Amino acid sequence: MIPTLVRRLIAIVPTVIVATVVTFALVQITPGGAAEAAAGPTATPAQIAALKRQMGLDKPVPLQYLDWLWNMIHGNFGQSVINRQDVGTEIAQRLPVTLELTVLALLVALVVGIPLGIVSAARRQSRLDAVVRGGSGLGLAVPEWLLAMFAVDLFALQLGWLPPTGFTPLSENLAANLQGMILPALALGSGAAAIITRQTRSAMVEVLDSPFVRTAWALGLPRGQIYFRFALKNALISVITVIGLIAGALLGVSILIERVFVIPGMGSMLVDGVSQKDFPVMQGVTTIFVAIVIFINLAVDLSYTVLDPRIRR
Amino acid sequence: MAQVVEQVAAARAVAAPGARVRRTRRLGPVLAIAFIVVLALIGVLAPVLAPDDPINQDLANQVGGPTAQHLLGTDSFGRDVLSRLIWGTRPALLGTLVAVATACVIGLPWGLVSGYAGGLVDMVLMRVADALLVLPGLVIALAITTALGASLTNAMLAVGIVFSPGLARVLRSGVLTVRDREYVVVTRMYGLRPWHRMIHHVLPNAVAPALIQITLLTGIAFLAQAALGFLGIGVSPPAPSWGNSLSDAYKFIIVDPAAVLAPGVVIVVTVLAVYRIGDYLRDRIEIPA
Amino acid sequence: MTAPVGTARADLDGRAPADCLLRISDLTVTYGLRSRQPVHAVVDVSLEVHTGRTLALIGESGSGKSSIARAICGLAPVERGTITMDGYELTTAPDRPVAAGQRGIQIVFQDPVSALDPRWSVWRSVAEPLLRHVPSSDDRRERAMVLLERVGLDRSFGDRHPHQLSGGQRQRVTIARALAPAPRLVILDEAVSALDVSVRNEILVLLDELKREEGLTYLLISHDMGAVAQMATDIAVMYLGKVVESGEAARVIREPAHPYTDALLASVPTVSGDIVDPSFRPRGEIGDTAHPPPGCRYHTRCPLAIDRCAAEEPLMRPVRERLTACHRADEKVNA
Repeated sequence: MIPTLVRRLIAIVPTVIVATVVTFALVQITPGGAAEAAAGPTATPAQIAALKRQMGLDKPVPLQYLDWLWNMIHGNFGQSVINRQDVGTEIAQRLPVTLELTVLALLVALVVGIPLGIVSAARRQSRLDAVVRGGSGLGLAVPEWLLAMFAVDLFALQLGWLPPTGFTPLSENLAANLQGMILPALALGSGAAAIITRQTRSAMVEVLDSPFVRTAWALGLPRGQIYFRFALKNALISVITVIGLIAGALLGVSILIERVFVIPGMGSMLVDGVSQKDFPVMQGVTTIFVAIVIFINLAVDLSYTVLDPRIRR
Repeated sequence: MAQVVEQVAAARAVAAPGARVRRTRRLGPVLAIAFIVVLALIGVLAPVLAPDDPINQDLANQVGGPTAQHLLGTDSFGRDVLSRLIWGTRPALLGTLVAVATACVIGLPWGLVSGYAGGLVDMVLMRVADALLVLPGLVIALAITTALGASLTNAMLAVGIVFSPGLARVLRSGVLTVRDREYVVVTRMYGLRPWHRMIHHVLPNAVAPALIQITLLTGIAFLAQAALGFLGIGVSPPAPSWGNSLSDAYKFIIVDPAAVLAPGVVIVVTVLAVYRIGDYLRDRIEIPA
Repeated sequence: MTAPVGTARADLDGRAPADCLLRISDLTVTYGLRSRQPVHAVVDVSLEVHTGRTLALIGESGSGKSSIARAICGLAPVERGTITMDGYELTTAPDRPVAAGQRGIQIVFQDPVSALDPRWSVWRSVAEPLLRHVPSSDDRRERAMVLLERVGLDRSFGDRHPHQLSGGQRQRVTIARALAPAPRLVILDEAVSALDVSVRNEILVLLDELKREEGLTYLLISHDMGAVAQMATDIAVMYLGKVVESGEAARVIREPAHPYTDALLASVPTVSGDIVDPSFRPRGEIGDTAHPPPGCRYHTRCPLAIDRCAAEEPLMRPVRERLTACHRADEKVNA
């Protein structure tokens, strides 16, 4: 287990390097220069030069990269160019929010997707199966943020069951927080649920059709046992393969959901920073997002080796 | 997002042909193509078709319901929604085009060179591609847009850049299949340059899985354009786009819940049409080479 | 040049060295030379192909015969040795495939499916070797049509695509393409192996005609003794990367000097049903090219093997007017 862990960590190094280089390089490629952009069109050359020195842009590029890396590791993300707030602190406040949303959405996807996939596979070609297939098709086609808006229209405004917007921090009131998160999590998780449904279904079908399981069934082994012992385990493994990809995509789409429901997470921070060319914000948030995704992939990789003895080396 | 996952999954796995067997009814694709063509025409003829100037504000008439003068009502600035939707066809289609073109311009040579050269070049190029594929697309696209400056072209360029490593991977796998075929190898004895081999033999035969990928990308690019518009990135106000029409309508959803329907439905129907065309093309292209 | 060896062989085989069109000397072909497990597909092979003759290289798959073909064309890595075409050393040329093509070597491969670009019309494929020297597309097309007629295909085939042709027809197209640059030596790498038996014969007949009409020299590579018997004037038998017997076809076939040649001949069903003494059949499976047996490579399967065979590798020496590498060749008496 330990050697595998070390090996996987080493394999990740190129990814981390490329990711950090890319995020760092984005500042360098700004047309016209980052300092010039931050200073604005009316700045004098002297002001621009001073800003350059302040932003550390006058040093040689590799040195800048190392400086930035060093700062990042110590949690120093600089200050927002716009409102001068410490980027690191703000990220620390918003990160739990984004994580909560993403985790809840993932839960929704799993809780909805896996059972639906199993049932759909067990009752193949039935009407239930058709409904599930159609539903997942819709979930795949309609983007989550659109679905979110329609959902708000229906559930919040027409039916009045849930609040349309408004976020209550977890620390304040758990119940209110969760209530405010229901619609966002459902919307965000819809696409992922569709994928997991399909993945689970096809994995189950494959296992259920395998000669191994058919023999067990022919020998009279009770159905429930068959499902739970063999089919489920294999199906879950195939789901885990996809979870890494899904989690990464969820993080991306959460940005849009945050906008719809006015949730103060990292996504909205990033979006605000984009139009204002707030580089420290952009770099800080991007780096954190990337770090989370890489971490998730690593975790999935490792759990894979634990679960599937075939992969253990 | 589902499409993003599908794209990345397709890029990670070598494209396996024949995985889908679907009954394609003629009607679906034909309707879809017709719809897209109509959209394109609407975009081109927008100045003629739009009943009103899309940026003409009428602050006395904000968020008004459908009337004879404003068939789909007005938005929060009193602008005619129908006209804004008509004009919004342009950034929708153009933006998608820019993103797909960028992905091709960057991704195709990347994959071709990597697959053909092999060895160290291939390894390095693919390591970079794999590293980039791990990163969350929307986040990186936003980051790139920050650097380039927030405009429609830049935003869609960023989207195209994000797509390119996936496309490179897919083309590379096709190239690897074709590269050692006899009709390629034997040309070395004819005194013809590697250039000739790559362009005339390798590329045409390797491109099928990449074409499939491109159809997937078109759908995602379109949604990305709408999503970015919704976030307020892309076309700068007061210029119309479907995304910002949607964003505007949503802000006042309490006042007029039905306002989101017009841009929302347009977006959904267009996505479905693009996907339908993509499915159809995929079924046609997926002939084992 | 290795004249002394050539002279010795000339005495033996009765052919003047001046007739030698292609000479392979001590060729070693190694794949993955710098990797952890290099594979020596061909080891210390020396062969001569004489003008106007057909040398058949025969052996099981894995014997290295295809590697020799590719090495000649510059498409396989040569670790040691030389390949000389008409006095010109191909192995040291800066661009080996181009050099081979320029010196009049062309190759016809086994698989008619992957030999032609499915997107190119037939005439374009046939004319491709001429692309560099004949700029006019019309000229090339005309020449391609002439070549198609040469190989027994109607001109209308020129505008079709490979998937519209049968296996035999495609192979004719490949042959036409190989003839386009007016080669002197044509390598036929299992050229008929993938074809139906009936078609196979037609193609062999065609090849024979072309050889006479165009004054070609053939290097025929095959595992099929039947095709070899039909076409070859000279034979070289290969096993695990080495030549074990070589000489005039008639002699080798009538009275093989090496036990492996015996075994190969035994695998050909004959009408009269007389098969060589079954005691000559090889035992077990062909060895691993990466880890060949010590001594004589065939000794693990040879029914005639003695202790010496495992210890000492036999060298090619003249025995009964051909060359063979077997310790017991002298004592072998035919059934």
